[in-house]
Amino acid sequence: MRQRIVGIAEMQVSDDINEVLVTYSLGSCIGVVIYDPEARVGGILHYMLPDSSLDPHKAAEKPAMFADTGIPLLFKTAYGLGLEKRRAKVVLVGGAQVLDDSGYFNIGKRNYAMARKILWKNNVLVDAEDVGGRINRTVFLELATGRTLVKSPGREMREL
Amino acid sequence: MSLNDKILDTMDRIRPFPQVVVKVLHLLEDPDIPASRIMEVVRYDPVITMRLLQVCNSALFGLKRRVESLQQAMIILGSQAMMRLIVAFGALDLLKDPLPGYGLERGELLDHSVACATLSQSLLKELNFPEDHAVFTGAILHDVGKLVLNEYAGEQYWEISRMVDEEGQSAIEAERAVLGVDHAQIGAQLAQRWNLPQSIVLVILKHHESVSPERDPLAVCLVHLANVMCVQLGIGAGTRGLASRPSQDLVQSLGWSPKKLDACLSAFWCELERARSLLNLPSEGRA
Repeated sequence: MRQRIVGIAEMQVSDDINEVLVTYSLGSCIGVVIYDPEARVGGILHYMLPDSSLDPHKAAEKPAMFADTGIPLLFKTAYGLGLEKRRAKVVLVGGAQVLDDSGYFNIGKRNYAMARKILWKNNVLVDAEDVGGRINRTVFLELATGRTLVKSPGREMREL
Repeated sequence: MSLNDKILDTMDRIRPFPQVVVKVLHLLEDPDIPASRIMEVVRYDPVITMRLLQVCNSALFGLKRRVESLQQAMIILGSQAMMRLIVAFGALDLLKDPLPGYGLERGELLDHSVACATLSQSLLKELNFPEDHAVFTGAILHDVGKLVLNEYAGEQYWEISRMVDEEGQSAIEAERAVLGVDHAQIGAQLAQRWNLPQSIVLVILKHHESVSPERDPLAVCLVHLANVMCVQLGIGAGTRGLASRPSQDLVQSLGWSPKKLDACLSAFWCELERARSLLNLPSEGRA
């Protein structure tokens, strides 16, 4: 199995069943995992921020940095490899928070809300999620099987 | 041996911060120091000199002629950027080891430190404040105490994690409660042993405390903020990093909105990619 790493503010899509996509250390960021079991096509997006209107110039250069530009890009790229929306399994991971009540550090919550909103608007259901709390998460997607695994330091690997 | 004695013993065994960089940091306390005076000191450290020349001769700059002297390197990098690289190169070997006691793999502490330093520096620029070397250096070294406490945080890993998960304590509070001391205090002691300037010792000591620009030096506030923003992003957060408590009202007293923080993060990301390539670090933060 070959690992292909998805960095922060990056997206990777694959139809190679010998590959495992992995994205490390999701804190407040969200990992959007999609997989079509029939076409055996999947992808991961690791976005940092909810809204590209913050910096349209940056969004043009790095669309995977933002939810509203990254999520459509993830789906479009996967369609190119044969993924179909009606068959796609969708998983959300991340959106953690630090210990804060002031509202200045709630990116995790805002990131998660934005993913929900965009997917809902596009009639895409979320099949599983592991979000919130104060933990750091690493996500693996096996292209051969569609298995999505989440690992946090000091915790057992879990399947979603 | 008591835990306290063991910790002191471990502190003796940590490899020291390069003396040449300590000298440079003291020279930089004088803002009018000529760069040539600093180069005279740096050239006595062959490793740092070699690394600086390697950066200049790398594909990043795409120069036709080979850079062979520190004077030429300074012209290419700019004197401020060169000072920051000297500090970062001085800390590279110290910070790259894995710290299982904190759930950090090889290269993660280094990447966190570089990210925190890059972000602190860009927050300083955002505020239009003059160059302050305590910001970058303090950020690079803020977690150095973890090198000492790693072993003991490892022995008490489950108890510290339990206090964080079940009692809602922050990671540093739990660490202090269990070990009797925390990595900020130990890091400040190390920095003192290395004879680093007091401005840097203070940044290390207070990076988890409640700080405000009215009471504390700006470097202390910016590194505190940058550290929270980096762990929030998951950069070097390890097992319990997200259980950090940002200072209430700090962002507000800097006059910033949450949207402003988002904008800082998006700008910072591109700068981090550049910093990682200058230091020859992997782009996903793992060695």
